[in-house]
Amino acid sequence: MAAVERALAAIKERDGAINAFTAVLPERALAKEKTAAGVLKGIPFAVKNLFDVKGLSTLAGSKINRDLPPAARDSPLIERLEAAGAVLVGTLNMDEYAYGFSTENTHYGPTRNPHNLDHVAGGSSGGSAAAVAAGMVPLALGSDTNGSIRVPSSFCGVWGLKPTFGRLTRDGSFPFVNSLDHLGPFADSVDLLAASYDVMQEGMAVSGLKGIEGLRIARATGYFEENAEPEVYELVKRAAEKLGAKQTVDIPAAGQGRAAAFVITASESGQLHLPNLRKRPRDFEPMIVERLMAGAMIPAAWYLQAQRVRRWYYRLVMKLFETVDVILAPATPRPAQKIGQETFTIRGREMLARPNTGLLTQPISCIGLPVICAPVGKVDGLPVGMQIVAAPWREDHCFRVARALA
Amino acid sequence: MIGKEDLPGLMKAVDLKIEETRIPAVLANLQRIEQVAQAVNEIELAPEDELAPLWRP
Repeated sequence: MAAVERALAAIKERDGAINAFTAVLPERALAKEKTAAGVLKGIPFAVKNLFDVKGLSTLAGSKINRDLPPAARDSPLIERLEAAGAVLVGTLNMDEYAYGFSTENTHYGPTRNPHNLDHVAGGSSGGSAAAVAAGMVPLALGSDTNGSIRVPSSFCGVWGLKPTFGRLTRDGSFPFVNSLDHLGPFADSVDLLAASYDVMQEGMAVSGLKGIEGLRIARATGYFEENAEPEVYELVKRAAEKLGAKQTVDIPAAGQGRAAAFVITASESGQLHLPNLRKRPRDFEPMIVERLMAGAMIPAAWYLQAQRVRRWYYRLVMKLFETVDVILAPATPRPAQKIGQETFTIRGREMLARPNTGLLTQPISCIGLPVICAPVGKVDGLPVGMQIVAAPWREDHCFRVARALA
Repeated sequence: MIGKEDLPGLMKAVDLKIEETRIPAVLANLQRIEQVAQAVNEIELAPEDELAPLWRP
């Protein structure tokens, strides 16, 4: 049986329990497979349902977007993957409008973590990570504004790449926060992550890159240690030791960087959805509608200050890259929480689970740095990931380190 | 902190009507954002700390 048929069979068999897919496209996939050619020939993949897929309304996890007309064409990233021989088999569940870290979607049901069905898959690209982790597809696309590729990668134990801000076109995708949105792939191996990224990007190829000789690799302490459970941080330490990374760095003002991302996200997403918040508030996801309303009303002075702080923080972090090439940091404070769980603790401090799952990812994406999320082990039987962070446009550094860990 | 008495003005400014039952949750979210924003607002910036560039396709 070819890979596409195997994927369709796996979806039929496993997705009832996991709920990663919101649409499966067997006719399109089987037709496409017949003519597939290229470096990704016959590799099945699926996309978060904020990507335009010809003939489908671009849901972005919402009920409201069901009223949109079907997309007239596929998003350019889907076109690029299919031009290289990959075959689209379906679309994937997510938090409504990407505003969440858990994919507990009231309209389409929660996506469950393949490692333990009682736990969340992470979000907002939870369907993407779960589909790969469950072996339904080896490759998926998602988006990352504040951690939405890295959080589900960490929770589901798969590889994820959030490229440099602006590296991959966002045409043909439904936005969340214009200042912070990124698109990127999930894969079941570093090789496939690299191959898929190479066919979507136009910069230096990363496929086949290996060897960490000459790379200055450091482990992040301070904020990134204080906001991770000790067992999670210990796995990052072990990975750093495996790489021979003895240096440590304290990313300055990471908390303020995260705060800036939080304010920018609230304001831009609230403003984006203001017309529908006025017209049909009852059709929004109940878990986000009041957050969007609040964001729509915050003073412009806060938003503009946050955008200026982002630039200030960027300058501080760029100084670090004069002495290191790659920074290692935990991706999530803890492994995946249970579905419906409202709070969790980090080093004894109790906090709301949903908004704080991105504590460690937001300071990185806020300034657009490229990151690979690598699986580094399990805590309480659930996977956790590590962020491999490089300077802007240096995805090659991330890939060299990722391959050394694979 | 932003209080319930501030909400009518904020709602009017963006032409948003909010059902009474949602007011406590909206206020709680606003106060959470305000708390986080304090960490941003207290940073003293220089004039050269201009806005971060927005997305350019």
